[in-house]
Amino acid sequence: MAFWGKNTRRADGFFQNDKKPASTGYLPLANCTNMANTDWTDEALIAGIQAGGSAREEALKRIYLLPGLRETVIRHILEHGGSRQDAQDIFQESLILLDRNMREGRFEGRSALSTYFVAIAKWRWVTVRRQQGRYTDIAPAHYDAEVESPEAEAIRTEYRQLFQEALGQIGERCRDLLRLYQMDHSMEEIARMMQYGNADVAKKEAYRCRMRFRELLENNPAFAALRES
Amino acid sequence: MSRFDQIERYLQGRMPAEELRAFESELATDTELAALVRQHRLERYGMELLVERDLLAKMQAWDRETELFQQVQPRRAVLRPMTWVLRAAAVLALAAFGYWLLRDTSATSTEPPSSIVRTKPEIKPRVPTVRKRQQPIPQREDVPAEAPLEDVAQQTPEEPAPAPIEEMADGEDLDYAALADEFFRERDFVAPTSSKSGATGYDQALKNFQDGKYNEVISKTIPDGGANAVEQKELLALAQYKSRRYADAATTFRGIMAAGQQPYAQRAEWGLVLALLQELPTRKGEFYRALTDILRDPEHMFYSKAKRLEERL
Repeated sequence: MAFWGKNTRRADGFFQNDKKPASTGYLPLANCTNMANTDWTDEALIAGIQAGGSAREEALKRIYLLPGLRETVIRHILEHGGSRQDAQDIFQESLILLDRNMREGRFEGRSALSTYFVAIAKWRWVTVRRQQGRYTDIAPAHYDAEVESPEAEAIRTEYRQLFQEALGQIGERCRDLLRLYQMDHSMEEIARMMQYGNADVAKKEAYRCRMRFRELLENNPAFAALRES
Repeated sequence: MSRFDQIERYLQGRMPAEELRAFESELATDTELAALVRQHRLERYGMELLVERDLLAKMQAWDRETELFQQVQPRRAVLRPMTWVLRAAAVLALAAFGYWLLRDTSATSTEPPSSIVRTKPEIKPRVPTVRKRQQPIPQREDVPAEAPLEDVAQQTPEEPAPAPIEEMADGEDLDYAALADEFFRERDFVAPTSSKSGATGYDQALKNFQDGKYNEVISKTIPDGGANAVEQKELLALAQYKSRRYADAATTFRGIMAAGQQPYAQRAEWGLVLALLQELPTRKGEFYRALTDILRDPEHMFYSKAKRLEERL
């Protein structure tokens, strides 16, 4: 059972099954003088996120501070029964989901990045409303794409607290290491960033931290109960 | 290559096509391998939370940068609409004051003088006098009984005690309860679904909470020190909050903070801020201490909300 597409990553950073996105030219409001967005096309942003490291951070920051994007999300949430607080939270969660989908190769490039971002926000708001038991007036047509399979979404929700508890106990260094590992940094990069002697040492440490995380999960009876349900 | 590395490469989508086909056919028949892959996948979901948390902290930093950027921008754009509103308000205030002045003088000049009516003075009941030893009261021999005694003139009138001067606290016109309600969101604390941890007591309490039966949650939830005691306490605190028992909620949140278990402790810190906000302007000192504790930690999961609350105050 697959929760995300099995895409082989090509040498150019794109996944095998991705259609290279058509050039969408400049992003909307690219002439905003306080950000100098004119160099950041959709392709550059996608490539930056998938490259990881400082390029990913810069690309995500550009999207986060893109003029008009936040207002579009806020307007949608307010029009569909949410508050400004909800809108702010949904906006941030949408960037997290966008980042994850980009890294996992789930973005097919059929729409502009800002359009995709807003679609994620709409999907996320529908999900939240459904979880609150208040999903009555929003039809599936109100969101444009399924961002994540219901199964994956359910797992993330149900296991979240258990994951947080275990991660809270593995120590700061292990958390940093596992985060870099999860973001697909090579062991050489991890060794350099975490100041390990070499890639082999980094790999052993990553394995040790991973086993510690696994042990904490398996020692939690709630985790076993959830897994068997 | 170890099985661990192989499964990781499979889940990361880094397998060459041929190896991928072989692995998937093995996966279809080997239940142990399938269980192991599922375990890896769950762990990767968990590790994704680290990436999520890191990105959230970055977004908060970007928000702070943006705020600093706005602070150094010229404030004319902000002040300009305010200036003419203030001018209009000042003109209206002057006009109202002028109208009051004119109305007051014209009323007294146009009213006809009231006629003087002489009536027999009403004899008021005698009020006890305060005798000063330094000044003996002169005796009067031919004072008529019905005439008011001169002692009355020597009375020290009892002045009412001056009303205490109430200091207008800053922001006293703020509706703190409405502000707290604006910032309170259930999903910051309670998972929307049941814990599925096998703790039927907790699941029933959660159902009662979601159905709005807060009194039932309060009366029936007794944290038992078991595996999900902190979860139970959190639910209890939220039920107390929703029942407007803010002092009780604050106490329960403090108990969760003392246990130190994350992420409950951080959620409890935010819950404490909101409970104390509901009780403002009393407990002001406690409220600001609780808020400051969150603002001291930029990586706190409620840092951005605390920042926004601070701005609103």
